[in-house]
Amino acid sequence: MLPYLVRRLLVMVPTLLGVSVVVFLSLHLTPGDPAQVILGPKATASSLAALRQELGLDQPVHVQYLRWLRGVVTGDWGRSIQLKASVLSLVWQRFQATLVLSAAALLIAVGAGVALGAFSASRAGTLADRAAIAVSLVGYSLPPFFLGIVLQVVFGLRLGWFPVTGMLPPGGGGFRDMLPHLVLPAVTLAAGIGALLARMTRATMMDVFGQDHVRTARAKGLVERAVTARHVFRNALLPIVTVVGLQIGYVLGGAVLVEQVFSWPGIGTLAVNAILARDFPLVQGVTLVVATAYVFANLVTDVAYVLVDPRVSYA
Amino acid sequence: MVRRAVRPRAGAPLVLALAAALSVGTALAQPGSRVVVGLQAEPVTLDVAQLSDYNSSRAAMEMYEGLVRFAHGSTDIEPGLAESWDVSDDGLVYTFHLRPGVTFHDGTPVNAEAVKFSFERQIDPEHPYHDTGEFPYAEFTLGVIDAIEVVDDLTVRITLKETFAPFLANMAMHAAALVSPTAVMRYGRDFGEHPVGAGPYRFVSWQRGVEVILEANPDYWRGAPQVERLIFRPIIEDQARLAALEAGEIDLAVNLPPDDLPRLRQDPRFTFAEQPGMHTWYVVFNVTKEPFDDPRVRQAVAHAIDRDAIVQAILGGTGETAVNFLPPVVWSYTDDVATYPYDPERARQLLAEAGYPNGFSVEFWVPESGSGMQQSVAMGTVIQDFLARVGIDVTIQQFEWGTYLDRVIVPFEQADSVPAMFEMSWIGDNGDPDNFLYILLSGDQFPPYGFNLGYYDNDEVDDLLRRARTITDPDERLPLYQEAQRLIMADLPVLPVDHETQIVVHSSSIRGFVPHPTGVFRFENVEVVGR
Repeated sequence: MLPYLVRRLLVMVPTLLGVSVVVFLSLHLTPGDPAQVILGPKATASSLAALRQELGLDQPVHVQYLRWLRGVVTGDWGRSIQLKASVLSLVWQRFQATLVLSAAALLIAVGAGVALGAFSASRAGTLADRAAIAVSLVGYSLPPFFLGIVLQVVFGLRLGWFPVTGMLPPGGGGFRDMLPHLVLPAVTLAAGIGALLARMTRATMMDVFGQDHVRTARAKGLVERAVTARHVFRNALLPIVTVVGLQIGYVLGGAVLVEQVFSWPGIGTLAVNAILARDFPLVQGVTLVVATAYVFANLVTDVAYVLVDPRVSYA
Repeated sequence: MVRRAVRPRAGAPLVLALAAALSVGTALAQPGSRVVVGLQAEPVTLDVAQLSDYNSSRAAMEMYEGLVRFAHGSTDIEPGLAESWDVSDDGLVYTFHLRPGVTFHDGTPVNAEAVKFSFERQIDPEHPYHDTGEFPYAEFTLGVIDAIEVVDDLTVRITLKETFAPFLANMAMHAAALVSPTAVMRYGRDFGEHPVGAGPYRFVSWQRGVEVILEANPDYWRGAPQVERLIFRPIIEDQARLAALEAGEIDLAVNLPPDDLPRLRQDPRFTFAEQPGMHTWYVVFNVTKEPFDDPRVRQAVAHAIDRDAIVQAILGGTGETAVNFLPPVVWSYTDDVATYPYDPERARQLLAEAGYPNGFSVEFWVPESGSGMQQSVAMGTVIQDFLARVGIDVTIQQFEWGTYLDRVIVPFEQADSVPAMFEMSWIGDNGDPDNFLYILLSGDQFPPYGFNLGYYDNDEVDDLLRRARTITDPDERLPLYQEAQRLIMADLPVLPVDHETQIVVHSSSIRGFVPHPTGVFRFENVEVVGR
């Protein structure tokens, strides 16, 4: 297991390098000039030229890339062009907010999705099953952007149960103050994944229900609950874990939209602004962190297989 | 110039607001009172010399003051940290006399050295603190300064490179506000995160992406403001900002969805504060290109477009149809100019006279969004439709804002790469007509020197505008600007469509809020009641 982990971690390096090269190139190939964005439409040509030089934008692209890479390795991720602050501190601060939101969303999605799917599978064909399918279909089809606004209006404005924006109340607060702020954005982000997991769980469990070992278990006289829990659910877990792992990428992507709607100060809002402002160092920093998180999540998924399925092992 | 929507019940509040305005200077801040402002995006810096967007300006400006400032609700100039000033007869030398005993929030005295430091930091590349930021408005605001001399502790003499009539107006702009030299020396490039000025509010904290918190400056020379705390929160989505306002999470917001405004107007919990904007949204004609080198074609386009309909249907009345290129809030404005009412028949006739009886095809560039661009895409699409009705076949090309600016602000030598027609907008900086007419339409101001983006070049107009900016007496400048406006609107190198109205919606518990034409928010006369 350990050599496998080391190998996987080593493979991360070229993956991340590849990602950073692609992002760097695509940013530099897109038209638009960070100096122009910073100085605005009222900038003069000489101030634009001076700023380009100051930011090193007058250098060839490969020189700029290598300079950036050297910085990253030595812990200097550069300074955000637009926000005039250290990229590393900006990215780290925002990533924590996104982690909180994503973790809460995943918890809700896995908890609610798997429960709904299992419930549905064990009552296949009944009215309850069909209602559960309908719920998951709706959850899956609603774009997070729209769902977010609906939740804001219904639970924030009409019912007044939850605050509609921000991570903390104005003027600051601690973790306890954050919880009510977390509910609506986390549910919004969880809806799509939860629905997918519900459908996935239902389908795989139905599959397993029809297999020989389940018939054997029932023939042994096991009560239905034990059959479902020990023989069906356990065997259905593998594909579910795969899907959860894949959805981590979706969560990070979906966070961009959800953060925007709820003014959640995460990495999504940071990334959108950075891209629009052609803030090269910041976009690079955000990408690096998100890509690392994604690659890391995949690794965790692979490791989870071992725990779920004794047949899988990494020598 | 300021219209406030006052509901029948609002008589008493108005009196209260007046009382509040009168009592400033003696009153203390109301303990615990606060106003939470919903911004459209997060501020990027709080260094006044580096501001270039509304959101940063709104969060920062209450911390600063300059030698002079714009009066409440207008661009009239009134004394600020300078209590008086003299101007030499040739208009080249300005001597400012500073108010004694005023300090920055960190205790540093506001003196002649601080003035010199604040300005030279921006315009002198050799200044030891020049590398503490990028100063987008330095050249524009202070570029005309030749020398700054400290005469004595409270007297500073500024000599200009050439006579420049709007100089005093520039001194009221944000880039001319004073910063504490001690704080800049201490924080360097991070001054924007530790801002220190001499304004009515002082800095408390800034959590990026979350909020900026300011508190009343008890030592403000005009007297401490009433509201104890100001909190600025970015809420990017218009719909979410609306929800936050209705839920009471914020107290004041701009740019709410136009469709919801009529409903909010009926809601007694909210008060509207409106201000005709120092803004023009316009279509630029590249006059170096056929067919727009012919004024008749430009006039035909103007007659073909129903601009009132655009303002009503697309902007939901959040703008005022433009009669003239200059907005009505800028002095010297006249409506005694050629006008172009919606008249497709007249448009066809003009096209025929110009030799295009069957119309023509043209490319029209439109940004997806952008500062001051309002509903750029929808407005462009409607213009396309109107023009189709008189036989002009318009192809729209859409760009992202940064790219767009890159492509349309190009030197005369590359005029051919600029399309025949494109959208633009301008937000005034200092309330001076020079800031619209000279910069946007004089032959001296082709990019990269200025923003005459369609390369309009009329010697008569140029002469008027050049003379007007070197005369300091407003009475003498007035006829020159009015004549220039008449010539411009007859030639029509640009088609002004509307002037955006600034609509601020705030909780009715806030009294005394008046929007400012420059778009920044002032809270020094504001108070919070019944909360």
